[in-house]
Amino acid sequence: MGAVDISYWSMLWAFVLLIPVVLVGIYLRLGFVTDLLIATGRMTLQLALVAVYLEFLFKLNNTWLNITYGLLMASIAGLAIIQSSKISYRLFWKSVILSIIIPYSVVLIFFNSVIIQIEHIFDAQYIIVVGGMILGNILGINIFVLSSFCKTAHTENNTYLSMIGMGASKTEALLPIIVHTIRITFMPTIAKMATIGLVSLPGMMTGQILGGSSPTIAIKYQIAIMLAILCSGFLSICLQIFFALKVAYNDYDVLHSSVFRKK
Amino acid sequence: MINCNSVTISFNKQAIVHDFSCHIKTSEKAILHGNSGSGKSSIIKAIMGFTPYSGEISVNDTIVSPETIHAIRSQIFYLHQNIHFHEETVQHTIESICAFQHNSINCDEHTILKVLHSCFLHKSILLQNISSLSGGERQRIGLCIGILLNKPIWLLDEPFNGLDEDTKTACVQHILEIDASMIIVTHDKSWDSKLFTQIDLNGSR
Repeated sequence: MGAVDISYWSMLWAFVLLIPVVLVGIYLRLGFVTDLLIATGRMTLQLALVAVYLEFLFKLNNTWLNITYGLLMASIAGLAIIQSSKISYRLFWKSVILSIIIPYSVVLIFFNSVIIQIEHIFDAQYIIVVGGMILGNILGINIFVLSSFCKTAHTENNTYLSMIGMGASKTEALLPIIVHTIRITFMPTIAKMATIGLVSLPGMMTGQILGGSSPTIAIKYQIAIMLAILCSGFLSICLQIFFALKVAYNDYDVLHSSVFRKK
Repeated sequence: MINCNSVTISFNKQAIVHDFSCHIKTSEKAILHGNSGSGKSSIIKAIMGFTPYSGEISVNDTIVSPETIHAIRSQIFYLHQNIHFHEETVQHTIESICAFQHNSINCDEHTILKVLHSCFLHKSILLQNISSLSGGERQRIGLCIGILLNKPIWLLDEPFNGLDEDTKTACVQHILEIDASMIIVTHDKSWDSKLFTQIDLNGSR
């Protein structure tokens, strides 16, 4: 049993749901109607493209192509993180991409080979779909790590230099900032995990149940994927900070003045 | 002990310290004078490796470089102007600084209390949060930490700015009793010129 297909004409009905938002938006002059229409257009176009290349990737199901796709997505996620963090591309691009690719690959391979034990661990169905969920969540968790770390390191630079002047190593002087950054960026993930299933059904489960899986299978997958997200997100945060300690500071352990991008 | 040889420090391509040289001997205590913006603080920052410069700086015959900076810093106690600490209680701050790998000194409560007393601080300050202290109290806590760490070289940047005259005089007296080479940056002319070597940033010494 698979999900019922939606015809292209019926898809138009989905867009009818926009009408009340647009009408009220215009009536109350909420000022976001243009943005909303652009966002809707982008979402539709991007997902239509995804449909085209996913059909293509699933059809070929070539190991190397799947791996390349995964690495490419991880790199795009890395660049998106740097873009939104307003930090220097030149200093951070390597470290940010590495801190995504490492936990993403390790956790995804572990998930496919040890947890669900599929024969072909680079199968498009798993590497792209499960990998996409892991990557999306790494992106969500990591988006604030570097901006938060660099901002705090910048504002607390006098404290840092005071501590260095009193015999601290770089790591010792930055430890309170490191702990603070890990806590504030990782706590929401724990909070999210604690409430999952209470109010909303996670997207992956919804998809699986619509696709014909039994709720029990869907929930098993959901639990496994939550733990995979937790682990990869945490590893990624730690790696981001570990690498940032190296790239954001010069040979004398002094914060680079070019950590942030000039506007 | 500390040698600066033709040191030039620039910001935005403008030299704020030009061709500065000095030699500080073991146990010598020097006052670095200069007007505001004359680059006094930059010189001790350069010795700490905090700011780029041209010329040569050496500490104990070791030239300051990325390879040697950690060994050099481990011999120095540097008190930053407007000293800052992480948000903690005074006691926790002192204990964690004493426990830094380069320091690894055993500071029991008795020793800490003795040092606090010598800097005119009451023991109740130990339980206060660092952020609740006045500037003058923070500077004296810094001085206490310096005494506990007992390093052979002290670099102090405007160390007693926030203190009243009596406390300042007592702290200066205390500083004189410490057996360490020191460079003290100040714009305060009241430091006794007989007891400290005077270095004018314009080169005359």
